[in-house]
Amino acid sequence: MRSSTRCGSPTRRGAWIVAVFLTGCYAGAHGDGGDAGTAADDGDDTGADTAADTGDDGVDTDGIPSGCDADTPPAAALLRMHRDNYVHALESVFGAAALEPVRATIETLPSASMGVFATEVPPVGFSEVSAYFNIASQLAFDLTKDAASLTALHACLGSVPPGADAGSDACLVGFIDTFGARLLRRPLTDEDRSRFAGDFAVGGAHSVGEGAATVLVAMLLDPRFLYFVETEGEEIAPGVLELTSHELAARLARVLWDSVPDDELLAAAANAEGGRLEGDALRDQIDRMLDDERARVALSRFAGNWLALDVMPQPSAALFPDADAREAARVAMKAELLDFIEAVTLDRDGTYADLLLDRTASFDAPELGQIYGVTPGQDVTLPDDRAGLLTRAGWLATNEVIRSNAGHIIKRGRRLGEFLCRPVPPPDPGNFPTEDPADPATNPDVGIRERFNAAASEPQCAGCHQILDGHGAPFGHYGAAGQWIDVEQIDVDGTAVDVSIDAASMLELDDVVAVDGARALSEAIAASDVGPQCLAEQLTRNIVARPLAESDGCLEQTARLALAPQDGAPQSLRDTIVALVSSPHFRQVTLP
Amino acid sequence: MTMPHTIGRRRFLLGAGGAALVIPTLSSLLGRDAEAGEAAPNRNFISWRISNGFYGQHWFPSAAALAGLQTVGPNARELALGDIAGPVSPILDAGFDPFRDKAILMRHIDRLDWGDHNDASGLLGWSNGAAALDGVDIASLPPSIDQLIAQKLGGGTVPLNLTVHWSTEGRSASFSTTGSGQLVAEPALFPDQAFAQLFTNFDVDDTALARLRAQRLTMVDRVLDHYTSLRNHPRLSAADRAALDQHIEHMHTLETQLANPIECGPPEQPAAYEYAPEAMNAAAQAQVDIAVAALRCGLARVVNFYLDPDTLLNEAVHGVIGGHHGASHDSSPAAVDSILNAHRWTMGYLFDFLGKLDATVKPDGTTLLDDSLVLVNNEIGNQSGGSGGESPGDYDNNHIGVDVQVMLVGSCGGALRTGNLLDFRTDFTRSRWSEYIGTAYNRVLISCMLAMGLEPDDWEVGGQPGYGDLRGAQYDMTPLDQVVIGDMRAYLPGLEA
Repeated sequence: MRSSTRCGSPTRRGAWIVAVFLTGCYAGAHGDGGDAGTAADDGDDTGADTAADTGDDGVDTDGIPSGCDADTPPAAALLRMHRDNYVHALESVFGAAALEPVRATIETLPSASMGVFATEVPPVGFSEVSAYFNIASQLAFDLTKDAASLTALHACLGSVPPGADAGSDACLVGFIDTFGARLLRRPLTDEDRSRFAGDFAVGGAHSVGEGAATVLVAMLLDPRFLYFVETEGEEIAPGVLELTSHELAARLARVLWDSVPDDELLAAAANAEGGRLEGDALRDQIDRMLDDERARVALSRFAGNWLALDVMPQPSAALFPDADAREAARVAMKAELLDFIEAVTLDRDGTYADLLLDRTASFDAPELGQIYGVTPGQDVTLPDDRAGLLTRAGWLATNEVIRSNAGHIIKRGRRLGEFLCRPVPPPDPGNFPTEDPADPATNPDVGIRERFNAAASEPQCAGCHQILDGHGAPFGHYGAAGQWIDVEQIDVDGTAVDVSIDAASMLELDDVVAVDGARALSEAIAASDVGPQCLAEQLTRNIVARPLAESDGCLEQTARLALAPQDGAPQSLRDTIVALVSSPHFRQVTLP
Repeated sequence: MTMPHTIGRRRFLLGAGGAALVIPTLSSLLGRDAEAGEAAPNRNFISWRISNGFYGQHWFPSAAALAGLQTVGPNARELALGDIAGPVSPILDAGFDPFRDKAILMRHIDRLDWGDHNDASGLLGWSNGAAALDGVDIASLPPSIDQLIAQKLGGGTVPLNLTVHWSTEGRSASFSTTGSGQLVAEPALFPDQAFAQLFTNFDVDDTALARLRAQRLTMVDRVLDHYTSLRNHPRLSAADRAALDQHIEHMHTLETQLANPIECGPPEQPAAYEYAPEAMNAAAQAQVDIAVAALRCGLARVVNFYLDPDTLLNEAVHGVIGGHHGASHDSSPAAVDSILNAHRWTMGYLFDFLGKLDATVKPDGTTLLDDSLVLVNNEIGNQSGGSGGESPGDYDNNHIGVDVQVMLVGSCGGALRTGNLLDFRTDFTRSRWSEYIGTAYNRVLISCMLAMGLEPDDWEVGGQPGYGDLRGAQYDMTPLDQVVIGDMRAYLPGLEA
């Protein structure tokens, strides 16, 4: 029953070899932002290679990089809020405490983690429409359920007389204007006001509270709240739309905060000279937003998607026998990595190279101190065996390898491929080996690298496994929880056997490079164009919230030029973000 | 007796689709404590636990009927239940016929634990019997799937555990783990307790309710205009329009269901629970009616039935000699008949429950049963012996969890493909018990969780694939290495719609 065939049964070998040949284990990676699940499927070329093809790193005076199609900004698209946008928007408008009764329902809405990196959300389903309705209904009722609630919501509401007309009563007009502008992310038009006054009348016929509730329900179900509508700008060239200042503000809040504009940003949009939020006024808002706590939350969400940290295994019981300690370690590993990325990006004005090489860490958990071999604290310098994010426990963590203290070479190899936007396609599930090569039971004399090498030696496996193994090998000195190990320790019938680790590898970055471990690997990636190019793709995808297309090329190149210019010093990560959201193509869309 | 978590009495106004369409403000309107908001997925999970094992010849179709099984994948064979002439089996008799198209009957599902009498294996995937969990890190175990599902549904949902039992404590198959490493069964409610908890003071301000419903209906209708207006904006792409069309369609569904609320109200109040054989039928019927009312009113989304009167099933009323448990340790013809009669007793109430769910029809023609997933399971497996029990006397009384009794009913909102017998036997054979080694039961549990909208991250611990495939001291007694576990993050073959 059990087959000894590894990677491919004879009947499927042909297809597998063809797949490897076609993909070269790299195909689609540049075109799909590193989503291994779709890279091989669509094979789109997004124009991401355009700059590299031309070798032109110049930036025109209008802020558009040369070497991309300046006349074709990203395609317009109607984006729906993902869960983080939605909850942050509600918190921003009503306060976090108001959301408590609906938190559980909010959790049922789609998150932003569909795809590895993007803020894509799936097509809307009935359950979500139902959830939107229930949340709106509950929130509206709770916020208006008695006089005290009404006053807390909008000070004068508690004294509005029964039967008041929302089209003329000053308090109700102010209420509708205030909440309408926040939720719809722009000042209301007369038509809007008339409509919401009509909505008030639906409940207002019974009481002011019910009238206010029906207005809030209408606003919370409005497509201009649940979707980012960008249709009102000026057509500055045939088929090219420049966003209104309020649409731009909403886009800034979506990208930098995962939220909606606050009052100050709305005011800046309203007061924008000539209706265009640009220049110093724009830069002031971007700086303010990046200094705000909300930027850290959004960056953390992005980094979690970028590095696929949604599922992080616990360390083994051998390392932490206590279950609570294992969970504490798991939580700390993820938090430390995200805090590190936040600190490099927003506190230290760090560059891409700093992400790969900085050894500073801040954490409190003793479990993580045990993994790193240092005392917990703020701004601790990690030992020499660490560099930047690729040597942090949160990135290194893999499932425990049975009967071994090693980390999983293939899982790390796959992660590195995704980190470089060169994902290696998984084998057909039907061709997966029946015995786990990671398990040393059948081959206890060699290390995990050699075990996989033996298991994947057949031609139908070797192509991709050479890459996977090569990617994973430099991390060989880190155990499954990311702890440093000098040797792999294998359990052979209850006896511990030491096996040496070979962390040397040859990898293809810009060129083929030889590395002898994770630090050297980090240095090589930091010095290459491959890593910055990949991050540029992810940052761009985070903006457009869909797989990249050719029209996204200028945005992507803006980020790439900032992260890794051919001449001159690279810009910081923060300045890269500033460059992206200040780019002309951030404020323009190509109409369908 | 410790009372379970309070089930909120907050949902009194339902769309025809059930709980997802409640107007959750009404409880506050009536001065009740508002609880968490309603969960979105409009699906219910019900488990129906049977005790003391079964005989294959009573439950499965005959070998002749199974001759039509078609191989549909590795370790997966399939037969349409509608293709079986006459009753499916002595237990799944004419009373089951209305549900053939809505059921998935499984064959050759094996538990990974040793089995024997226990409360936990049905929903936790592993026996809580003596020594079964020795060596297992209980503190890090997730709870049983009913609780995981309730957590996922959100809105303060907790399982409603209903029991009919010989003991004063009652029993539940819903298990939690404590930080100190204890496995704890959640308390269960006898009929009078369940009624009191759910329906005492079940009063509704009809005027306020009607007004509020009318307001919300109007708001959905008004907002729809703006979706239509945006949908027709010339600057939107065809893809954007298609997305909005979907949204509009769902809004129309919402509108329709709000306009056609399911009537809901309390069932007849049951008498105080009485420990007498003559009282068991009424008690079981009361639990069925309470569950149906709770599901219709949106007072429960997860219900666990544990109907096990044991010695309170007697010969005079139920045709069970020596108690249900006693009969399971006796392979005499009378005892085998008693096991059959005990099954017919519980199945009668199951079929009544299924029928009442199926009679609750929504405007789109689907029913509350279609929205639900009913997991029927037995604590112990097929006791018929190596040949499958076709011949009298071939009874093993093994009390082991092989070739277990498991059936799903309801498509879970269209997530499941129903109407089939699915046989998951492997090519491995045994020298005793069921001839063929099967596929792991915990994959049934994973399939249920997937159908209810859970994702692996909702049940996995530390990112480790699997649920209920524990390696405790009992490991050496299991067929673990031979049972096909397969993909621990996917449906069993043939289940997914």
